[in-house]
Amino acid sequence: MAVAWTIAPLKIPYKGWEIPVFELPSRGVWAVVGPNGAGKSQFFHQLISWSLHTHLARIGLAAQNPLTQLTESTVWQQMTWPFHRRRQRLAGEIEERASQLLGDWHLTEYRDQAPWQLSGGQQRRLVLASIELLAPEVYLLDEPLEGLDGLHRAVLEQKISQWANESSVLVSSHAWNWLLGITESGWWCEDGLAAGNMGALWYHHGNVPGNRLETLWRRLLDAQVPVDPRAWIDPQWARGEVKRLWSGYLPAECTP
Amino acid sequence: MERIFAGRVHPLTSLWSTVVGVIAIFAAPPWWLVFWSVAIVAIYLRYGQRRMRGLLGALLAGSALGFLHVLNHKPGAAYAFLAVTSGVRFGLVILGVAVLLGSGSLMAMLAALEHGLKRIFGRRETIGYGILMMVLALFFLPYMVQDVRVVRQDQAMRQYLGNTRQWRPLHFLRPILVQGLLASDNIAESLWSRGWRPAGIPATTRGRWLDLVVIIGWLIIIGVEVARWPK
Amino acid sequence: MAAIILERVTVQYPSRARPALGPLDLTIQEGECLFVTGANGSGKTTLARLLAGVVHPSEGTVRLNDGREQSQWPQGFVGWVQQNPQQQIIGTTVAEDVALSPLWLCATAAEAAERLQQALDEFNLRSWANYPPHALSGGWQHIAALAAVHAQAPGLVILDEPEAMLDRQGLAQVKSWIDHMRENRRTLMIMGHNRQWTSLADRVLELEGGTIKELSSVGQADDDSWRQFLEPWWGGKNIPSVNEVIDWLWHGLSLP
Repeated sequence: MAVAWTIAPLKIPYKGWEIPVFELPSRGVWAVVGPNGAGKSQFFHQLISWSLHTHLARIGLAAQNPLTQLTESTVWQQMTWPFHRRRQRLAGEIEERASQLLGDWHLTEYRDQAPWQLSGGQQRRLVLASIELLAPEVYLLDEPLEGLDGLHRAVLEQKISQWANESSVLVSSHAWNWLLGITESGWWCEDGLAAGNMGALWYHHGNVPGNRLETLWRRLLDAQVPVDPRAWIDPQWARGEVKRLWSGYLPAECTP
Repeated sequence: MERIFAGRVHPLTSLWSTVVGVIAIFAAPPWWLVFWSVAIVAIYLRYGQRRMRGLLGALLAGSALGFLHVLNHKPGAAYAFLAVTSGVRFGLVILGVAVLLGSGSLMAMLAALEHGLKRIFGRRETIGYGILMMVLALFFLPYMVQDVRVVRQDQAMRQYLGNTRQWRPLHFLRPILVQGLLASDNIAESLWSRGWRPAGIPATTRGRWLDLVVIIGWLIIIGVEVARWPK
Repeated sequence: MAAIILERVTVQYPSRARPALGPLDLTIQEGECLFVTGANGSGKTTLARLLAGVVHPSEGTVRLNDGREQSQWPQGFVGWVQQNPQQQIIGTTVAEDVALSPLWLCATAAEAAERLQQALDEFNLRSWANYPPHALSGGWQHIAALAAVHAQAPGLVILDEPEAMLDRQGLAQVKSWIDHMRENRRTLMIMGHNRQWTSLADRVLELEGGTIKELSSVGQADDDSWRQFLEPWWGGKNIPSVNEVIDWLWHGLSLP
């Protein structure tokens, strides 16, 4: 992991834990997973506070509740207000980029509507689009899937992989299968942050099986069968793993 | 049992005790304020050191405000004394209200008030709407305070990322106001879907002997205060 | 409790060009579980608001099959857990919020207190009972909103994105509560994008632009990823049981 910023220490006030040294990566996608009430959102808010106090990293947050981030009277103003300069027209490139992002998130037709009148999913899309326009170096996405329909989940996935080339994207979510598909590593958040491979984090912490394939996978890992822990998220990937085992042999140390 | 149904006195007794307490503090001769301070401090002692410091701080601030008020007017020892006691009164009223409201459930108090009013005046919708307004006004405040912090951080983040230096107070106030209105709307909708109706009558606990004792106690306190007031 | 009938219902918000919902004809049977899905802005939340009685149809009627118009429905007949729990939590503490409905719906305080305790126990909220709701994480706020609806004991339960912000334990809790509601013949309407709910539903309603795109029945639990994992190997044959597959993968390994 290429570390771009080191924060020491990062205190999480209400939960009463702190991270002695937190290393913020320069690019890539990183998951933040943990049980309800572990302090994930607070961790994100603390990162923003750190960025505002030190001005070392440009961090943008898409918060859990989009309503707290929608403050303007129209969708267009919501997108562009941080770029307005006193008595100056909005720069052409910003205008163009904002229009393009509204188009990407299918919000062009709501351009002059009040953000509060949008549906929950549209509000979330607007927040994501407005953060992207600000081009941060670190994206913090707190439960970004909530409210998004299938089409816009795909848009989000594509955007995340695009952002990850230039910036680092920290995503908090409870959807293991989605997170396992978009990233290989992350942190488990419970009384502190523990870094790990996503497959291993799922195996150790995602302890209530969701579907039959996931259950099968957990059983195979329990028996130390050498399958990729992330493969269950995609039936084809899982099939490939089983084929590989089948065509080869099962190592002797695997004990059912 | 949670405190909402577990108060020692009837919620309505707590509510009107607050109101009568405010009157009592205002009606009290200056030396009685010492008694009131001791009483409130005694109640507050149960709440730990942080609140205790808050209490003493508020009392001092009240006195200081009263004194500053004097400095802006004609000098005079008697006048200054009066102003300081009004400052103390003000501090005590605020704290007394905080003690009473903090020790019981405000929701239970409002429900009991609605129950009482509807028993007396019948199931008038006006009463229901009146109480609804109180619920919206009282319960929305803590959320506003929460929102202010979150919204302010978001605004600062966007200003930093967009490199906007200018301070635009409206960017801070407008969302709070609009979100306030919006939240009241949502709360009203939520109340409706959870069974609130303007003509409905909420459940409340029965009065106990202790309530009667409290009523008599307050009557004595107010009576004594008024009797000792300089003619 | 009876079936709910929507006849040619249209909801038009002021200053909007097209209706947010309708025209819609729909009958929701008693004890049925309906999963309502559709893209962002397709009218799901408006349908919930309509049934909860907070918006009124501009045209058409909403009634029970015993003839009662919506204005005559019993108090608290529709329990609604909104997408964003912050929008519906009112009390200064969690217990106060959960106690709201019992206060208005129960005849005596003792009965209301009992309902409150039962709801707090059902959702393991005892330890949070005297906390201010905004001190809770998003997931726990969602659980608190569910507890409030549980205490309301409604005939129709509307859950808007019930998986939002919940970890796996929270989700398992919600699912078992839904099962419990179904056993008690409560009518359920689950809204969202996550297809996992189809396995619990009797019918799936897909909305598009405020009207019905598709209304279909679903059979038994349909584990799609499992089927996709197995199908290519069993082309033309019957899909094997979980145990058969486990035996085949590893002798002696079996699922619970």
